[in-house]
Amino acid sequence: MSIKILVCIKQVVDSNIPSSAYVLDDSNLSIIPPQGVPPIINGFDEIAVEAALQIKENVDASITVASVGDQFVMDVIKKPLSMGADELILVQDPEFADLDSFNTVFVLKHLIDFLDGFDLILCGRQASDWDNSTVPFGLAEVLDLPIVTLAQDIQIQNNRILVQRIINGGYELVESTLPTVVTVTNEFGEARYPTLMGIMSASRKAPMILNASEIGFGSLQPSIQLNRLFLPTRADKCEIILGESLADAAESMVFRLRDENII
Amino acid sequence: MEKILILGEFNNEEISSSTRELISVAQQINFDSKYSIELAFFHNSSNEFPFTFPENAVDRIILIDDPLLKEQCNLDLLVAAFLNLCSFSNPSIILIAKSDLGSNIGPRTAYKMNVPIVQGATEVKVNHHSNDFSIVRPVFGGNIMAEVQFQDVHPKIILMNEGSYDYSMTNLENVRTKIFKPKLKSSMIRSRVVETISMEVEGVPLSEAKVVVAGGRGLGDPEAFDSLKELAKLFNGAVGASRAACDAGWIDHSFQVGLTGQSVAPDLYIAIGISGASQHMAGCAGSRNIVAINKDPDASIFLDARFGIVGDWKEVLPPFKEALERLMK
Repeated sequence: MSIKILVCIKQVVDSNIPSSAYVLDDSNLSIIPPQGVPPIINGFDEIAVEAALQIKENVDASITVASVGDQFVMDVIKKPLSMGADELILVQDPEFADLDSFNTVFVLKHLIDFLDGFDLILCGRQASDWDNSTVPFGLAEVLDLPIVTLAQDIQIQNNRILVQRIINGGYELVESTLPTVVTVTNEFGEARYPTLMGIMSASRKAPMILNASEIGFGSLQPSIQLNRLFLPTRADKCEIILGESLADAAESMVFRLRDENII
Repeated sequence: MEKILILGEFNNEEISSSTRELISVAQQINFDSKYSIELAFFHNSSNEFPFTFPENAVDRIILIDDPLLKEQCNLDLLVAAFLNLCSFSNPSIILIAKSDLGSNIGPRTAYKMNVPIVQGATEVKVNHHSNDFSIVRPVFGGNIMAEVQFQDVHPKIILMNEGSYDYSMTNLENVRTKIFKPKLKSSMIRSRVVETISMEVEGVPLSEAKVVVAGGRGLGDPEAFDSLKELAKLFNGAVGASRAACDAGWIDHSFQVGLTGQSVAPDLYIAIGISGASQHMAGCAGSRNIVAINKDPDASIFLDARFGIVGDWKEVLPPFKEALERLMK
């Protein structure tokens, strides 16, 4: 039996740029992507692709990668293909310009139904742009599947899946049966770099591009309204404790903290 | 009367500090006493439930009680039980902490009820005129804040970041307690924990510590955390770490403070060799006092710190510890 794996990925603004590079547009409702910094695939989603590839090394599996949005940078979004995924499906529609996580779930549900379902749906633990971690939970609920979150290891035997799930102070071994949804965390390990072979083979593959109506998606539901974005203010009031030596400064720090009744 | 339902949690037989924060949020929303506030707990320990609730700020305490919950603390059952309570109680607003439990129960409950959820909220802003509220939350790794508002949605489910709110410790008695019996079946279990592997952590849990001594990549090596542990012990505090230090394998991920780790709000947060990336600050921004020790004078941690020393931590920490020990004698 071959396992059908779906990995859901998201193209995001690279959040590793320095805070100072973030610029808001005049409406304060969107971020102007910094010049010359291409978007990236959400890092946690790349690790989910890595998890799928590792599963495929051990069991017979096919890996479909899917994303939803209004526009994609092809060189970026095709990375999972160059890492070794079998196919890439993009649901692209102008209607999805400001798609939120609530509605993303229903778009993905339509896509998954359109593709006759999957045995394993892998997602990154959260997207690094809106930091929600909502979509995987939503998918599990609307598809009526089990969900196991924060996987640092995934083992599959027949239709049984064993996940090492990160918890405070350790991990728990969670057992479920396919089909299921699993979210992958950074403790899983780093995603592999595409090989030259992989990049060449990916360049010959074109993603399948579908629009909302082709997968039978109707209209967006009322959800959460963005009132405004703003840059966090940082106190910038640090009192630097000085001394003849660092040892002096350290001692002064202790007294300073005591003066302020902090210790 | 409209209701605010809080999902409470315990930490070592005590109401968790994040639950107290949720009570503060509920009180803030309920400025004109329009709501009744219900605080629900899972009655899933076989021990006697600690009935000394230290809060008078809620109208009713609900114990969600079922033999299956006492047998096993299974997430599928907890979600089903909480959903049962939500259907029964029909709250307008549901407040949940972004703990491990809350992060699972919140979004699953939301989608079962076909409503969106606001996750990782750090502030609820109440408009006393319109009687409505907006919610502030960090996005883009904490580099940007978003103020959002529910559209026509019932119920409004909010997952609050831990360590975002002050809370009071007022003592009190006589809150009416009600037992709620959910309709649970063992067939609801779709995934189950077969084994739990925990590390022994000395001292107070990170989320409850009054003093946190945290280290980052600037420490240079994993052994450095031994010095941090000694310092934390002096304060009866806990050790924390940045994601960089955890991903480097220097310390277990369970010590991680930040967006993908724990949120803490101690009285004193000592950040050693931590640059102060937004995603880290997202986990400790609620700290009352941040002390930074970093050899890079331009490290952004100094923008958030109240006190700082610019220098190699290896030269700072031993005299700091000595002075502290002398002071404590």
